Amino acid sequence: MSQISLVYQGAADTVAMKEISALTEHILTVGNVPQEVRMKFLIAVDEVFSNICRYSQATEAKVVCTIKNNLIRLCFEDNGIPFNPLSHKKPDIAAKAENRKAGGLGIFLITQQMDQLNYKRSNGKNQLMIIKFQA
Amino acid sequence: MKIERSGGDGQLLLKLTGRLDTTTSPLLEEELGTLEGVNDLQLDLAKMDYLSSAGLRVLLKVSKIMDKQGTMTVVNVNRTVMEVFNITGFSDILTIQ
Repeated sequence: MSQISLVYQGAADTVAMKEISALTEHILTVGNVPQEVRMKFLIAVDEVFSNICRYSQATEAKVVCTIKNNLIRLCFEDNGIPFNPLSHKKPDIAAKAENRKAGGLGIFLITQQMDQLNYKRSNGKNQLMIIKFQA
Repeated sequence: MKIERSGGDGQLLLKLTGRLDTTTSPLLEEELGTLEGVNDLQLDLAKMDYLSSAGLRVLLKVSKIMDKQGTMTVVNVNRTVMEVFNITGFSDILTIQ
C-alpha cells in the first residue's frame, strides 16, 4: 500500500518552511517512520526548500511525500531556472576551519544521509526526488 | 528553538533545545551577536533535535571568532547531530566533548 501526501503547493518563500517542516514530520510520524529517519528528512526539507527559495528564482514550489512499503520518497518541484543540485562540486570537508566555506554542505549532507537522489528538468520545472529505504 | 544562556566573567554557556535550521539559525546568530569579552564559549547540544547546513554556517562563523579570542567547546552531542558533524567534517574543526 502506498500513501501519497501533498505536503505543500504554493509560493517559493522561506516563510512556508515551518509549515512544510511540520507537515512532513506529521506525515512521517503517521507513517511510523522512526525518529532518526524523520530528522534526516526534515534536514532534507530545510536544505532543498531553502535552496529553491534563495537561488532558483522560482515563484511556485510543490512538495510531495510518498510512503510505500519500505520506501520513503520526497519530491520537490519548482518553476525556477534550470538547476541541478547534484551537479554541484563536492565541498572540501577536510579543509581547515579558517578556509572553510559553509556553501554546498546542504546537498552533500542529503546525498550522504539518503539512499537515492534524482534530478530532472521536465515541462519547464526542476524536479528533485529524494529516496530512502527503511530496513 | 529555545536558547538558555548562563555564565559570566568571560564564560558563556548556551543550552540549545530543538532544531537549528533555516528558520531558527538567525536566532542563534543574534544570541551570539556580541561575543565581546567571552573567552570560553560552551554550546550544550543535549536537547538539539537536528541541525542543517544553516546551523553549521552559524557554528562555523562563531568558531572562527572564538579561535581568535578564546575557546569554543561543543558538549553533549547526540547521535543525529554527531552524524551531521561527521559527514561534513565539522567533527575535525570543532572541539567536541
